[in-house]
Amino acid sequence: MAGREVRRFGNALAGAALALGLAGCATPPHTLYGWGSYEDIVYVAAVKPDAVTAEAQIEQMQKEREILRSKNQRFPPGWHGHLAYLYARTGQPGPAHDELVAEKAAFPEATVFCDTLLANLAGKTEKKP
Amino acid sequence: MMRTTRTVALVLLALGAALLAGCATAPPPYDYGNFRESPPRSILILPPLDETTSVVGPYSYLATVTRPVAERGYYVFPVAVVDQFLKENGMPTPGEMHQVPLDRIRAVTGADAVLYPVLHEYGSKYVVLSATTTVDVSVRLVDTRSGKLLWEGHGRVSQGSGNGNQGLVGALVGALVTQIINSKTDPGYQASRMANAQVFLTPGRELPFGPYSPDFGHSPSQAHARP
Repeated sequence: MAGREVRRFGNALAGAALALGLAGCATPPHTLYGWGSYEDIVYVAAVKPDAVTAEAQIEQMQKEREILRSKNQRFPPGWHGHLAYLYARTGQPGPAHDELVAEKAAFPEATVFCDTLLANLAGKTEKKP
Repeated sequence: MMRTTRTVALVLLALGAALLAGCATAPPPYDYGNFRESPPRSILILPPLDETTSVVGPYSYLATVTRPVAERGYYVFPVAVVDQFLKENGMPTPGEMHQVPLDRIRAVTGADAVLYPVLHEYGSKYVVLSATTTVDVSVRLVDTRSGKLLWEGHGRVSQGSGNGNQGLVGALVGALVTQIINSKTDPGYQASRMANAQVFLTPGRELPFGPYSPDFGHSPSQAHARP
C-alpha cells in the first residue's frame, strides 16, 4: 500500500517534471544570436582594459565559441571583429586576419570596415623587420 | 418631431466635440517618413557624449547598446573596435568622434547609419542607507548618405537598491571577465539595459525591425499578431 502511494507520488512528480519541461520547450529564448558573456567582454575591453589581460579575454572568447557552436547559436554581429581586435592587440596578425574574414563572411555589411582593418593589419605586419 | 430632431443634433454635436477633444490630447504618431525613405541595414554606434560626472558611465553604457540594436535586426559594428579605430585616427574623445563627417564614416566603414547616444545621467545617489541608480539616455540615428535624422529615442530608468538585479550579473557565464564587473561599483550597467528597452521599444515610437529580424517589413503591431 505504502509502495503504491510512493509510486503514485513518483508518477505525479514525473508528470509535473514533464509539464515543466514542455513549458520550457514552449518558451524558447527569443533572441537572434547567442550572446553568452560577449557584452561583458566588450565592457571589460571598453571600461577596464587593464583589469584582465587581452590573452585571458581571448581565452574566454575561444571557450564561448565552443559553447555557441555546441548550442548551434549564431554569433552576434561584431563578435568576430572584436576577437580580431584582441588578436591584433596581442601581436597575432594571422588569427586576427582570419576573424576579420569570418566577420565579413557572416555579415556582408561589415565588408568595407573589415577591409579597412585588414589593410591596417597588413601595413603593421609589413613594417615589422 | 421637431424636438426629437433638435435633441439628436445636440447629441451629435456633443459627440463630435468629445471626438475632437480626444484627438487634441492624443500624442501625434511618430513620423517614420525619413526612416521609410532609406531604411538602414548596418548601424555604427559611437561612444556616447557625456553630460554626467560618471567615470565609467559612457563606456559602460556603450557595452549594453549593441544587443538591443542587433536583436532588432541590424548589423552592428563592434563598438570597442570602432572606438579604438577612431582613437588611433586622431579622435581621442566621444566629442571628437561625434564631429567626424558622415561621408568619411561611410567611406571607411560602409555604415548606412550612425547612432549618436547622449548620456544625460548615470549613476547612484545615496540617501541614508538606500541608493537610487539612474540612467537617462537619448539616441539619434542619422543616415550617412543624406545626413537626415532617421529615428530618435529616449529612455530613463531609476531603480532602488536591493531589488534583485545584482544577481543577473553573477549568473552570466564568463567567470573571470564577469567578476571584474562589480554591480556594486557600477550598478548603472544593469540599469542601462532597462533604459535601452525604453529607448528602442517604447510602443508607437520604437526602432523598426531591421533586415535580420524575422519580423522585418512588419509594423510592430502586426508582429505581435504573429503566431
